[in-house]
Formats: sequence, structure tokens, C-alpha cells
Amino acid sequence: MITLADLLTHVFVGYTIGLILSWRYERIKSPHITAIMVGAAVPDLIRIRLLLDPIKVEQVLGLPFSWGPLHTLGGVLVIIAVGSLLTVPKDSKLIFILLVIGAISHLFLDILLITASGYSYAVLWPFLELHPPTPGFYLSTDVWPAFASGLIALFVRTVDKIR
Amino acid sequence: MLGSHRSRAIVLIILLILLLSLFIWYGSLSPDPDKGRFAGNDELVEDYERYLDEKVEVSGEVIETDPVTIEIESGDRTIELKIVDLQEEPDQGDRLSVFGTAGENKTIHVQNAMIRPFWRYGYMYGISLVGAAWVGLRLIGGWRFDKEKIAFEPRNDPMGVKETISFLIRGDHSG
Repeated sequence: MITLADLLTHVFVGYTIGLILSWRYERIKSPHITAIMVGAAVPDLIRIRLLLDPIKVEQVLGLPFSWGPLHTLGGVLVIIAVGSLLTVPKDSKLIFILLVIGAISHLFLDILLITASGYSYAVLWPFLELHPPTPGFYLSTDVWPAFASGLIALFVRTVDKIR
Repeated sequence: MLGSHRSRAIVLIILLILLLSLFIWYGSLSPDPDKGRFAGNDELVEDYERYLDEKVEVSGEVIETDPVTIEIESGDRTIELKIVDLQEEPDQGDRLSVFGTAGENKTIHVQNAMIRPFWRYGYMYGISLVGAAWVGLRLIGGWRFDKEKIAFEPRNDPMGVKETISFLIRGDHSG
């Protein structure tokens, strides 16, 4: 079963990673930090299932259907390839990498979510079918992850301003 | 190689077909407890009896507390499951996620469960919207669409969030 952390936490983490990378790499400027944040939001596209029920899509298509891949490495890579294809060619490679960094941070954090079964989701699908056991650090509905990640983001931003 | 619009369009179509195949492939996977993939709401609503004595992982709203009963959904259909051997005491309206064994008479024998009050979901969606709005504003402020190249590119002079909001309010979208 896929559980999601709140999107704000993921976006804070993407922002933090982006700022830190921008210290090391001059090419990474504000729009590129945004790209990492977008990447960090990509796996949450799976929320489309709240609008478009996969069971109903199945009935229309006449084929089995699941939005599940949007929250796995394979699906995320395809979405990101589409996204970077829509950017200007000279930037698309860099954008691809930035989006992947953001998305991996998201998928990694979500492996740590508490689930009832103790197993996480098929993060590396379709390369690996395994649902890894989750260490169960937090719930998607917990309030503290957004606060903690927000504080860290604020701290890194302050350091960034001072530099 | 990806310079021309034509080749980009072809790659785009291939990627979209690939994505659709992934959706169909994933949809065709059946539960596999050895790999940590347990029957869930969709499978049990579809055919509960098929998963008797198997490990299942479901979640739904608590509609009764004595005995604890949850309603699980799949598409437009719902079924009610009795939950037994539960340590926790959920209130009506809470969301209950349960891992356990599917028994006779639509009764789940709990091995582990999590209760989440309904308002927590409101919090999660509310705060997620804040995150989405922030990213959206940064995208508008930091990126532009080049009509000739049919592609997005970073602005040379990205706007901050406040600037972007006033830019949107002014309605000056020519940049």
C-alpha cells in the first residue's frame, strides 16, 4: 500500500537540497532549485487517483490499470523524461538530473513512512518488485515532518543569504 | 538529436506509450505477500472470499465501534469489514489502516493497525496545497515558455515569490 507524506515536507527538502547544491555548482540558480522542488513533487502526481479513479479507467479501457507507477522509480523516470523534453534542449540534460535528484529524495523519504504491514511500497519497480520493510519513522498525517523540514530549510536559507 | 520539433514529438509519443504500458502492467500485478505486496481494498471489494486466510492490508473509515467495523472503498463499490483482535479503540469517523488475516464473514483478524483521526487528513491535504502553490509560484517566476522553441526555459532574471504574485495580479503575462 502506498502512503504519502505531505507534499510541503517534500518541497522543503527539495528546496534545501537545491540551495546546498547551488553553493557547490554555479550553474544551479533559482529556477534550477525550483526544478529540484518540482522533481520532489513528481511522485505525488499519484494523487490523480483521487480525481480519476483507476477502477473507472479500467472499465473505460477494458484493461487492468493503476496509477501506482507514478510513485515508483520507473514511472517517475518516464514522467521526468517527458518533463525535461519540454525544456530547451541545451538545458534538458541538467533539468533531467535536477528533477531526478528531487524525485529520489521523495521516494526515499516515503520508504520511511509507517505502514500497517511494516512493508513499504515497490519503490524500485519495475526494476525490482520488492516492497522493502519500512523502518516506520513517521506517518503521512504527522504534523512534525513539515515543521522539522521547514526549520531546516529556513536555516539553510539563512546560511545562503549570509554567504 | 533532440533538436528538431519532429524528433522531440516522436520521443514524447514513445514516452507516453511507455507510461501507459506501465500503468497497465502495474494494474495487472496480483498480490504477492512474499514480496510485501498484500491484497488491499480493491482486491477485497472485488472478491473477498478469494483471499480467505491470507494476509491483507486495508484501510477505511470506522463506521461502527462495537464491534469495530470499517467501510472500505474501491471505485463506486464498498464493503464492510469487522475488525477483531484490535488493541486500539478507534472513534467513529477515524481512518483505520489494518494489517491482518482475512477470516470468515468478512472479519479481519488484526496483526497491526494504525488509527488516524479524520482531521489529520484535512491537515495533510491543506499543507500539501501550500507546497503545491509555492512550487507553482516559483515555476511561474523562474521559468518562461518560448513559443518558437516550443519549450520551457529558465528566466534570465527570475522573480521572487512576492514579485510573481504581483506579476500575476497585474495580469501582465507577456514576459
